[in-house]
Amino acid sequence: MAEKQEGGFLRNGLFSRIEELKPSSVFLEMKGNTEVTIEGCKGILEYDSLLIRVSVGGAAITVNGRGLCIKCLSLSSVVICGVITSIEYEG
Amino acid sequence: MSILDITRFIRGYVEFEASGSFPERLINLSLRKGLNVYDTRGSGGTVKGRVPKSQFEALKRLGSRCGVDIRVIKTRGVPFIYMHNRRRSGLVAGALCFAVLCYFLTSFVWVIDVEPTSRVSEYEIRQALKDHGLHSGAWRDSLVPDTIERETMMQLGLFGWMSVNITGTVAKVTVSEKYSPEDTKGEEVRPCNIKAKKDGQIVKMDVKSGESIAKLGDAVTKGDLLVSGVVSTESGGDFLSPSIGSVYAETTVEKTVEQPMSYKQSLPSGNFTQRSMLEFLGIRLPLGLSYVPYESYTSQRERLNFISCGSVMPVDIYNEYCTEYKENDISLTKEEAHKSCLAALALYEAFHMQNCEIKKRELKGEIKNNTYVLTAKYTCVEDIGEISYIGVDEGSEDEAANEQGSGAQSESDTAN
Repeated sequence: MAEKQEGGFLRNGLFSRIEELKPSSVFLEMKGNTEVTIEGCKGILEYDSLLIRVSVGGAAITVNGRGLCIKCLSLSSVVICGVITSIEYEG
Repeated sequence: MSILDITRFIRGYVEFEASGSFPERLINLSLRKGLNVYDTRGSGGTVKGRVPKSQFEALKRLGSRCGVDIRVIKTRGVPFIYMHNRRRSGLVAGALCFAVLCYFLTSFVWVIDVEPTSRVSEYEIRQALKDHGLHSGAWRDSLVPDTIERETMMQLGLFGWMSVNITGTVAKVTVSEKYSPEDTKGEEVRPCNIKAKKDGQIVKMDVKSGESIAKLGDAVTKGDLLVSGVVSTESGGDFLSPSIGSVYAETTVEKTVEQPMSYKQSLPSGNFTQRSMLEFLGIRLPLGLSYVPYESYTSQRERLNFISCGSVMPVDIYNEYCTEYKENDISLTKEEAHKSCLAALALYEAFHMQNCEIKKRELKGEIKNNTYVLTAKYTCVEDIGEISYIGVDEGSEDEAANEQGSGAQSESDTAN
């Protein structure tokens, strides 16, 4: 006998499909050139004072600059601070 | 230092350096495992960061699983300090004693912040508070602010409102003076007469309200009615009114002062001693071995407070200056005795005749029984008016009524 799924059809079926259908769930917010918040990150790929690469699912975002550091890190977002010179998106 | 930093310090943390082929993976994994890795810095293929002491072992296991070497750079926080010093029993005992002492000392009131008023000095308020248990070094739990407020107000009697707020080791006392009708004393509003309080001859009258009975040039004796509060109207009726005004009369005052020609007087011998005491916890401890070797001396005390951040600290230093006095036999000449009597008369004039205008002063000096007696006869002009109220509750009413003759009789009838 199949177990009943918690949350029902709407949560487990429909909403998760809608999330997958979104073209990109990444959200970037910059404060001047000293702080950038990336929401929707999946992990840190590279961490250096001159470069920080963040995985955003099927793509990666590279933040270049000087004295870069991760100010705050959670499961879905990261706050990078330092002097940011460029941000690259690798699709 | 923020609250977060303090919390982290109390919990203790380890500063580590992760190196290997992919140290960033350690951060990703630790995040997924719920480890609190913070203050991360990446440079030269290594990642530095901090982790709470309780989570460091889990981080090490995670590092070995993903092939990252973890090296401890620094350990900080209370748990490490405790571990480092746990064998130093004296230090632990000292810290414990310090904590107990801090707790014990905060059970007392150390600072009393009093706001003085225009009528009552700060010293008087402090003394009254001390009488009711609030003083520097008082046991905080034994103090009941409501009782202290009530009893201090009753003792001093000049406060309309008082508040004692005990916060920590500081007692803040705020007072507000009582409203006194005398503050707004101006012209009388109750029916009254003005009577003479001295014998004299009237030289000036300034009557604003009431009916003048005495006239300029009249000679009056003590108790005579000068201005009546019973005023007659043109229609023949009477009404009561407050008597307001000043009646100036020329009076004579005689004053005698005496000065013995030889007497004994205590004078400073020139020797003095200073003693200092430290007061703390209500106990005075002498600072030094000096004592007072004199039989007769005067003592002058000076209290020095320590003030920190605007608050008076509960440690005082008392300096006591003792000056020796010795009895000397003094003999005066007639001139010296006369000068001494004149000085005494000057004081009398300054303190007892400040409201009089002295017109004439006659002096007569003589020696009687080895004492110089100086008699001064003053002729002066002064306000001899004295208010005497008219009313059913006042004892002076009947007297006032009797002295007013027929007019007063009708007034008395009205009052009754």
